[in-house]
Amino acid sequence: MGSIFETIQVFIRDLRDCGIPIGSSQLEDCYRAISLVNWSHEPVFYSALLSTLLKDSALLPIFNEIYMRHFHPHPGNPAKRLGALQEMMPELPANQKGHGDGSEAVGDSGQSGKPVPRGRSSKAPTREWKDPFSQDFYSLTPQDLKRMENLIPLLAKRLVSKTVIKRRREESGALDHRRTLRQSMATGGVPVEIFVKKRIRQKPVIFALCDVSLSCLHFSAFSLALVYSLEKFFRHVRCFAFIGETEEVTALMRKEQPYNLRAQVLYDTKVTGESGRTDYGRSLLTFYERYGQDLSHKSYVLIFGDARSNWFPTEPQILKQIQDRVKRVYWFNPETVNEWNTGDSSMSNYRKYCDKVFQTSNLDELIKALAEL
Amino acid sequence: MLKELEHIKQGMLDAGYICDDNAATVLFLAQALSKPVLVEGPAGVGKTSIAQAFSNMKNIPLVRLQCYEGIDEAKAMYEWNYKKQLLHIQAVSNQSLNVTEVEKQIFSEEFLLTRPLLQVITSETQTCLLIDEIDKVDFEFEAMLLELLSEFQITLPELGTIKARHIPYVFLTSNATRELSEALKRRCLFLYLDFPSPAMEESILRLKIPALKQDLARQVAESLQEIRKLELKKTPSIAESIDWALALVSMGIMELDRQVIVKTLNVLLKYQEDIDLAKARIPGPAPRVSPMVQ
Repeated sequence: MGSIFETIQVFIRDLRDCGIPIGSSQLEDCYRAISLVNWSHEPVFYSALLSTLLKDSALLPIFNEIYMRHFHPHPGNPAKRLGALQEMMPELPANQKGHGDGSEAVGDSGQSGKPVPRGRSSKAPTREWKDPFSQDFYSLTPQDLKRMENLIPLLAKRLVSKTVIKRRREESGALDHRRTLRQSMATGGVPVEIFVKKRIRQKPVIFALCDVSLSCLHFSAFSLALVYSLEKFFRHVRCFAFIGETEEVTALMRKEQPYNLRAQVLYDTKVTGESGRTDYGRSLLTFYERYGQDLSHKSYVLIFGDARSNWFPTEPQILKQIQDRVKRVYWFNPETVNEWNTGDSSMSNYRKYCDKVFQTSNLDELIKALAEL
Repeated sequence: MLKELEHIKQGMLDAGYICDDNAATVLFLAQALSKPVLVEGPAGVGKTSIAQAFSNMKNIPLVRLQCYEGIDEAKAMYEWNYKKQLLHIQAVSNQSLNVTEVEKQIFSEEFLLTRPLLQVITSETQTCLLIDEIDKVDFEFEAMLLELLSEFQITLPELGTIKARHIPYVFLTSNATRELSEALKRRCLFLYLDFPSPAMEESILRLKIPALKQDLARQVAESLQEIRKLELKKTPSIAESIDWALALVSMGIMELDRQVIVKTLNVLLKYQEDIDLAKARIPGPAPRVSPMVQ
């Protein structure tokens, strides 16, 4: 067993790997905290780590999972192990004092200790670091997928706070003469405080069309999860899934987590159509036939897909008809711009009839695009 | 150190708050590291009361700042008393004073209205500051708090920097409706309060309502466990369960059965849909929730 510094360092790196932001001042706090508490009582040790390293309840499940893996390997007697660890590090407070910066202290003691102690950590440093935010939707392993799913609550919150700021900025309208003048009476006619009228905006109805074919599935699922997080800014969110045909899945989404989309939609609906292959033209056609009457000038149509239509007719005129009836049509494409219009992708046909198209090949780009809604 | 934890737990208990290991450790660290505590959790699990109980335990005054959308420095920190300043200028206008002198007069502490944050900083004794529902504030305000939370000082353009005489204990509560800035979170210790375990809820109920019999307390705690599992619009928290138990006690009810629960559900649940759902789901007639009354 290596020094406690290494153990905790590996622990922290695993946390960072999963997208939990930990700065060096937090590290310092963490070390100070664990040097103050008694480790023989496990809940105390756990709280010391938790309260200094994690700052967001949305990430609590990830933290707990990683904590269990690192410090809870023998459910029989974890206390004994932690107690033993603490005995091995009597020099911590003295060591810590010498350094202003927590991360430095950690780095030093990590290197001066014995060469890497455990099997896990000897592999770990060489492992390629992947930032879950900038990872391509096409190169996801099941682990990456899990990691990104864990991050969704956090991203959702971020997206909401971004939207709130934007809304607030747009909210302030013209000067409210009456209130400003009335208030200025109190200060002898000097308008010390200026009041403005609030603009009232109409909440749009969202029609989200998701390509759930294999190539776009993950992307659609994440997008849907995030669109749902913005639900309170919309009057209503309706979801539609398509491969060869379009079918409404709003009711299904009420029951299920958006990322269960992949299993549920294919199981419960007939979106595959006759050919069983992605057909954007037919999908748009069936959407317009079945649900076109619900579209109005308050609707936003969001399309999530790569526009790869297997050389079937693309029917862009249908999209034009849709665009004429609704307020906005936005297209979110998980491919990078230079892949558009290659092979069977017919993005340029559709692009003409979209108010805006976004390249959303990773979570970062997706968040930015959705914040524009 | 474990002894100190016990000490904190006992002190909080005397102040009317039951701490688990986690909360006690965080309180201990907050004192040892002089850091603010950011308390997160669903509504009604005792985020605000932990600060109140802590100030009771320490026997120091609690200064509370209730945040809301649109709160600004003038409401939270300090404000110049415009009206008094104007009156003062009018009053001295026939005395031949030069401008700088008048300015000096009207920007003195006499014309300063102290708001909670300044009050904490200038307080003669140590205080406990509770910043409630920090997630409601604007980003500008959140940024303004940073100076206070890390340096325990406030800068007023007209008067200069004021440093706290005693470092206050600071609690921030958040319902996590939006993400707080990294800078703010980094300065705080994090404490997550969740719905309590049945045993803990039982002891909380018994502590808050001495007249409540143990059997009934257990039944209440157990039924709440079941009710929280339902998919409700607003899950009842400790505040509601205390109300409910109080209602049961004042109705003179000794044992909980389906009929009683259905009749009193409106104390616990605040939406008609929730009440309907719970009614439909509460199992069978007889005393299902009280199998262990022996």
